Amino acid sequence: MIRSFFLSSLLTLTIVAAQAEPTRKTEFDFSGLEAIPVQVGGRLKPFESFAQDTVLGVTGRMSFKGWKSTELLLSWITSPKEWENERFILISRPDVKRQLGLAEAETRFSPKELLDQSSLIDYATSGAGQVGGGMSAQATPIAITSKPDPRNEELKRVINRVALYRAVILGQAWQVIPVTSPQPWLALREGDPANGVDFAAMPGAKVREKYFKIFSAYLYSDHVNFSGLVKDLDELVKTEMGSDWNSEASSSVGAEMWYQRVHPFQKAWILYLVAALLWAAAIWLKGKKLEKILTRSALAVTGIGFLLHISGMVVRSYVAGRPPVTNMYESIVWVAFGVVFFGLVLYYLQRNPILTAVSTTLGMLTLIVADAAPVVMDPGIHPLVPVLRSNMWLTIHVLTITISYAALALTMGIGNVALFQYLKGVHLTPTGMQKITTLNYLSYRAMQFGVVLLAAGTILGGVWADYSWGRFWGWDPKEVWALIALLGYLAVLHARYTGWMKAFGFAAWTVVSFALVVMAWYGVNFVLGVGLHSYGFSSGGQSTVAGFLVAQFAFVALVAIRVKSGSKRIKNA
Amino acid sequence: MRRLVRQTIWSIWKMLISVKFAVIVIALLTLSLIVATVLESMYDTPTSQYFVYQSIYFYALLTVFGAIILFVALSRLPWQKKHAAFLTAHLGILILLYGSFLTFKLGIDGQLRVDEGMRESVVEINEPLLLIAGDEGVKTVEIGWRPPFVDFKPMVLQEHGITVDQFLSHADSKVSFLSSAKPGPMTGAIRARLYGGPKAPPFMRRGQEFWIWAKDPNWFGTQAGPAVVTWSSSINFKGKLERGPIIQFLADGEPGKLQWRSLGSEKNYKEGTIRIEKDGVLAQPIEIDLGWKIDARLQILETYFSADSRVDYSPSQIQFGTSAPSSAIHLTATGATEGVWLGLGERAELETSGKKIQLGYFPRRVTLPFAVELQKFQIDYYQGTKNPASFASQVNVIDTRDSQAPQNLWIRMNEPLKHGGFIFYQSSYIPGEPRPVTSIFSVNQDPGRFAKYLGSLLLVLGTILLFTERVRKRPKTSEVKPL
Repeated sequence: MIRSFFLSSLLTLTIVAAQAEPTRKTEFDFSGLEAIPVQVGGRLKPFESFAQDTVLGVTGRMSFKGWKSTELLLSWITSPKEWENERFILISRPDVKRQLGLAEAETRFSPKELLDQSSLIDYATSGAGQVGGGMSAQATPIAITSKPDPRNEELKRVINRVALYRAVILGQAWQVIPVTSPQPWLALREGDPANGVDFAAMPGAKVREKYFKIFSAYLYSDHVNFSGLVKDLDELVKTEMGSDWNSEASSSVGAEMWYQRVHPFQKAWILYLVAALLWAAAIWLKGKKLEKILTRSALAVTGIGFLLHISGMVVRSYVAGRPPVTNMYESIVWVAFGVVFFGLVLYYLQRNPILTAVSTTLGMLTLIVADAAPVVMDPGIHPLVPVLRSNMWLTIHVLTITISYAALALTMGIGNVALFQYLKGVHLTPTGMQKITTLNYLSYRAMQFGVVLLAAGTILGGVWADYSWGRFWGWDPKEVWALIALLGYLAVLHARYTGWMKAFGFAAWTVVSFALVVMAWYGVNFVLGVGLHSYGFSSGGQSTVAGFLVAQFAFVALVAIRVKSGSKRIKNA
Repeated sequence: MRRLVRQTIWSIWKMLISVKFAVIVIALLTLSLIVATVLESMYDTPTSQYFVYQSIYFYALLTVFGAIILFVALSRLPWQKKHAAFLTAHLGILILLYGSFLTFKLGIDGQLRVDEGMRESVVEINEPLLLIAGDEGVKTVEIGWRPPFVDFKPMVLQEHGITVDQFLSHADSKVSFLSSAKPGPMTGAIRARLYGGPKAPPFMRRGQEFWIWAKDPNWFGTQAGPAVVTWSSSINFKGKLERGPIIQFLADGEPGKLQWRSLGSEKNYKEGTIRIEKDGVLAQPIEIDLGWKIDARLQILETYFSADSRVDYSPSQIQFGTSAPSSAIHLTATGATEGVWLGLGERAELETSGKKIQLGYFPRRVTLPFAVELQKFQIDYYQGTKNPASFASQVNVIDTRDSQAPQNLWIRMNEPLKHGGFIFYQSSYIPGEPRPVTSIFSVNQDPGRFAKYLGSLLLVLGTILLFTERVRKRPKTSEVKPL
């Protein structure tokens, strides 16, 4: 078992090796520590972001059993013995658990169970576990990579989780000691853990000592001293940073603190939920006195939520120094923005509250999805891979194509509402049919936005590929799926134009066609896993997405059967 | 009769300009693309190209698609102002398709490999060709690539008297040696095994079998376990061995006598001579005790005083993906049973009806009107890792027609070199030990580029116009009848 770096360093302290359960220390105020600048993962950020990324990286959760991530980090490094038998390291695939000889019923495992795993260590040292890996002779960063094996991928992630936890308790992960740029900051402990720790020889002794004092204050529950020490540390770090602590750095760290504290996307979806309910009420009470008040307040709540949503994205872009569409999490947030945006634009044009009701509902659901699976969609702010760096065409291409998904999602949402009307039998009366026709018209309008943007985005992708890879079009799966989605929607539009598709057909196809978008957006990266867009490849969530699609298809089929039997009844009567 | 023909033509025309037919074609196109991406995911890119993207069926579908658009546009004659949006969008698609056709017909998409400090002007295109050099000059025959599970029908090349009877899409090579038809010194080959006796360390026990062949520098010597085993000429054979463990054989000795000498890591020198009755696999392997402390023993298994090499290909263990090896073909003189294997990039000679013809199996090559000289290749790594963050090549363009040709230009990702209608992108590299390095550029000439951009612009513009136009023509809800 590895000794804690911290324990081995505090030679003067006598520690009672109590095998107690780790407990939270509620009397502490961590807000000061959370705001201290650190530089982990090649980026200056507040301590809290580091803590949050680390806790997510180890446990697969944004917060573990109610522990604040900052406190969890302090507890891990000061009392690793107490955590030794706690189960908090995530392993999600049953076949990986089987391979490691672990209980399949559990989802999390203790450091003791995993650090003593010889098969895990073998795997890690064999080099297969290296993430990214070295570049082989003829490989290129844009080369077509072979399909990743999901079990191997999970095994790699497990190794990374264990390694990360190990690095936390050894102090290697704590890259908190400022060094003048462009040198990277130092960790509390540098180098090989097998070697002894010689602190005198390490630079950054002052900051390190402060951190040790903070650790011991936490360990001995000395919350009075703790706050004072944190204050000293804050000043010390900023003095040591010298000219690196300029207004830009401070506002970036400050902005990120705001982002972490406020959780703008979470607040936004709560507001969207309220707005959706208000819009629904306004539709329900159409023609009543209350309608006007409800509509106004719904619009106001949607607006506030939308502003919060936008400011979240702006702050995120500012902190990351790049547009916010470089991974699945960010693209989902961006699509949620697009859905609400198109809802508002179309509401302005059509004055139909169904649009905003649907768009706020979809915006809410999309943002919930983004927050629901942090392991699949990492919400952390990370630097970019080089292929994606500083390229205007790429940014425009990605923003355009993903915003088209938003418009098409709105189409799908309205289509579902229309299908629901059929299910209720609304279509059997002329006024009901008029209602459905209006819905279809609205989704047709949204589809127009979607198709234009999808076409433009796909072509812009060609422009970027031409600029970057030397060919406009290379039948790469991601390109092809964007084209498939475009052709699918074009087929729907043309079929509608010829009158081949009647009202029900159109509603049904708006819902079914969205499967193409899901495939182009999610499927290529998470299911097919081949092609040039490999930097976006990942795994996870397959069953959820498949479940969604199956539910949608089943719903369409169910409504189709109902409509068919309904129209028969009319004919017979 | 004439009426019937006219009616048929009329109904075909009607079908071609009907939007319903267009919907069917779009749907077929969509389905084909879905199949292609699934094939690519299940197998690899070349497989999906073979079955879809490069197939006649797919080109036919695209042609029909283009034809429909053209006919639909023509059917609206005489065009009026209200057709503007419709025409712009559909003309855009036509131009886009035309641009793609130009690229397909006239475009070049290949690779240029340049060693550091060298210049190169030959671009290789990923299209395997069989080159046949006879009395009438060099002829090329296209060998259509096909996935491993598609049967290859033998290609009989009547005029050359040869048959391509096997094609392996991904082939592993195996080298063996046999008695040479033209014996001579410095061409011997030995198959032997170095293994550990009972006192040897465990890793030595299983031993290692190897071939050495004096004729080819690549086969002259090898590392077997801890020892270096090489041939040596008589001049060097008299000298002193310096650093062990090493085993040497005399390459220009007498036939039937094989002289050897060895030096262990403890400077224990030993030498001897083995009598060899005849070429081939030895009936009884000859054991040589090297007398080393690690108890290493040499076992001679097969010897040839004068040997030729022979390469055989067999289907690779890896049949899909980028790590699968390249293709190979097998040729025979028509009627003969024994033939010759050619891996991609190899040459051979074949005798057919008393004539000797030279054969080569190479990717298609295009010579540029200028050369690219690689001055320097540079890799930047992510801080503290061995993962390359980016790589770049510094090049000179050597062009006799253009005194303004770029010099000392850096080509890196997203920063291509453009010269003489060609674009060079940094694609990948092959590291050398320690240098030089081979830099690989993808080279592109696309005459359809302008058409594609113009078509795209018109398509998007037309679609926007089409949709803003439709807004004004909102259907009256009263017209819609309930289902």
